[in-house]
Amino acid sequence: MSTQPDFPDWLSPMLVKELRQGLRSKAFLSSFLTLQVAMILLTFAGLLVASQGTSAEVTSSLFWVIVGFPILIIMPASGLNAISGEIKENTLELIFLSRLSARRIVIGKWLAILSQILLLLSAILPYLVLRYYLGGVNLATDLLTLGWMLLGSALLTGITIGLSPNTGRVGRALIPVGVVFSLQFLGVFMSSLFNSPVRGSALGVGTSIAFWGTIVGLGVFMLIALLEFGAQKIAPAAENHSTSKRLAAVGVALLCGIYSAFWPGLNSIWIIGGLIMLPIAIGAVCEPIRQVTSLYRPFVQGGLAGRLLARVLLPGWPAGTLFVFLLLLALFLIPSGPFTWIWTTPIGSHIPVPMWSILMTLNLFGFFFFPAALMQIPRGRLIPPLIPFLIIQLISGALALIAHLSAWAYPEFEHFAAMVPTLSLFLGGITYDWPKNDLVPLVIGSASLTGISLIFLLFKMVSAWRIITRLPVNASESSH
Amino acid sequence: MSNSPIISVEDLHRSFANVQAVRGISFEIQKGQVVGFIGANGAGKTTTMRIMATLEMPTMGTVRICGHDVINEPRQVRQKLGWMPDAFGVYPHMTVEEYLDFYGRAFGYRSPERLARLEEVMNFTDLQSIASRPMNKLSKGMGQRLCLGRTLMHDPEVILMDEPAAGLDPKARIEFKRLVRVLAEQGKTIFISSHILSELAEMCDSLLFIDAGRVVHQGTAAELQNGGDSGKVIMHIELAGDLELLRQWVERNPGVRLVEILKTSARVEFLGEETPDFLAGVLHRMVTDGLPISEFHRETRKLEDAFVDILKKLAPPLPL
Repeated sequence: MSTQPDFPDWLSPMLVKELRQGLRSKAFLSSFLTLQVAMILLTFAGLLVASQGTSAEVTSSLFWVIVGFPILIIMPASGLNAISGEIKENTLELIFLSRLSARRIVIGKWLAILSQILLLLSAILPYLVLRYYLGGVNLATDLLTLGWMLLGSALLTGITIGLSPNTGRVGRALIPVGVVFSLQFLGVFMSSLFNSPVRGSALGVGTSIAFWGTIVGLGVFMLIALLEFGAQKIAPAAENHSTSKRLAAVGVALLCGIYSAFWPGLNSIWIIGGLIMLPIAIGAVCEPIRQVTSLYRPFVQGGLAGRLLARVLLPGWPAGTLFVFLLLLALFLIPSGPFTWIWTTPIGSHIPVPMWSILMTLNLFGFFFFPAALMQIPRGRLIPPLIPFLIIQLISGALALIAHLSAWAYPEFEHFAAMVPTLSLFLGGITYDWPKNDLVPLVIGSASLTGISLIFLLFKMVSAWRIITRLPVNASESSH
Repeated sequence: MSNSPIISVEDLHRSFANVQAVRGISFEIQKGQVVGFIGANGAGKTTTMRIMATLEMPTMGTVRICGHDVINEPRQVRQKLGWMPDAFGVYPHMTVEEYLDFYGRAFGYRSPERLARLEEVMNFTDLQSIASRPMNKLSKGMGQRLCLGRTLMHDPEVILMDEPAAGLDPKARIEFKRLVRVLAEQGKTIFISSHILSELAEMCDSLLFIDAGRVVHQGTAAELQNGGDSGKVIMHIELAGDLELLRQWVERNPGVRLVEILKTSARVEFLGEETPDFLAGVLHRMVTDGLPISEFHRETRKLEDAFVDILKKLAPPLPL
């Protein structure tokens, strides 16, 4: 038996395990060797091009494609199997029985893949220097591009790790679609940022730092949310992963709010902010209540402030609903926030501004709380609440489309459909001259349904809190 | 506190979609006991053990390990508990030593202490010779020893073993039983589930039978073999002559019943306590009465038969 440890004690046990396995895995070894061979061939090609005095543009493009493939696709994709593989092999439960929490397991998995990506990147550094030697490249730009590639790869790995606990066939089939979409979105978003005048040094170094700082900050919050989603999926009931996700959403709102207040030119910051906040908000209103004392105890130990914080940060839909309500309210109040568009009517629309604003405000609140209230009606606990929520949204979208397409024949159907908050929101999104009819019944309909939903949720929330606050917070008296 | 049970299960229920796997199980286990957990497939053994191991949420009821609630204090429970599942997966790129080292780290051991613990566990489970072997190149017996090694890495007070001897060859079973006995001598509380009753009877202080999610019997193997029929002894008797002599003798003697006549022997039930004096008296009477006895021994009821008898007693009468 060897007596010398190969990894130091201070490294996370999960990271050590993953590195021991990962560095011997086919995904890493094949990526490493292929990359080395491709780089050697590319260097020879570069030498040839340089000796002939022709443009190095082709070899340069090829260089980034060869580097990008393992960094942005192969290695992040290996994260897809990170947790599901452990679940299938019955090894995850045994890890849980050690001192490692779900959070440490997921972070360890993510760090291990990131370390392998770093190893791959460091292995191409000599070729980067050779490219510089051959000429035609800016070393600083190359290093910056590698840095952004690393950030993108870290985020993509976060997505795959966060989704990897899903072992269902449909869910897993959708993951590659999601990854392709994310890559595309990231590409479009990043290119729009690179071309944006706001990021440029023309507006000063401070602006540039603030801009890129905000982007990196959003990336960090996104990563926290993604990894917490993954951890929550595998965690035992006594682990709290909801509070950190909600705090990440608050962080995103603050970051975007601060940035948009000082540099209001770039509204697309709210798009990426919204993409992070939306799944957190949906998850918050869908979360089942867990009557587990250890979840509630830390809040109670925080005194009055802790108990108040529990009303918005405790896992479960009662606190989640209040959290989403307050977050939406805050987003409405932020100057140059994400909902500034509701204060002006769409171009070409004949709708009076106040009516449009009231209707859209009600619809936005109704988007979360109308399905959330509907979900409280059936008592079946077997289907995860997220599924009915998404089904309601899907049906709303389909009904809105049917109502819109059949509006020429049955205008009253579209009118009636628009009274339902979720349908109304979809209808507002698919047609610019909507709504055509008198707005008052629409506002009354939408307001009624949103209001009824909120009152119903409040009623349910009060009874849910009665149960939660009765939980014995002293360990010795805890029972189930 | 010293008298409080180390494992306490109270009115435990667990329902799945359309199945009630566990229906109100309650029992207590004292420190240092080795308890066998027996039941047919689907009786609720694994579900109960998984709840005890903090891996499953009960629908209702309480489970406490070393005084800690498994739902509300899973971390404290896990520090005290070792869980050995019936099957565990392997990491193909990891060696036996690396696997145990990972669990040593995961349980919070630092370098010198971890290496010492690793050596101790590997010596106990006899894994030293295969320390550098990849996990996917182990036999079933080696795998079980490794699994036991992992279970013992943090020196738990309570060990739960789900079908630990399943699939092991006779040699590995004997070795495994030896390890359980050593652990019991060290004062560990061990809760083992198995299908092989005779094996459990050898290892355990008491047995807990469950059927259809309910506890149907709790007691020692001897109590089970007596089946609660105290005051009756069944003897296996073989005569040198005709068995008709025995039949006639039984008819003449009150408190004696012929249970079954076999080819060359018979099973006879005597009313009385199973004491050496009583058995000696019976034998003396039979010999005095002129029976040519060539074999006379007490019949031990098989545990499997005892279990089936318990289930028969519990079964509802068939509809007419």
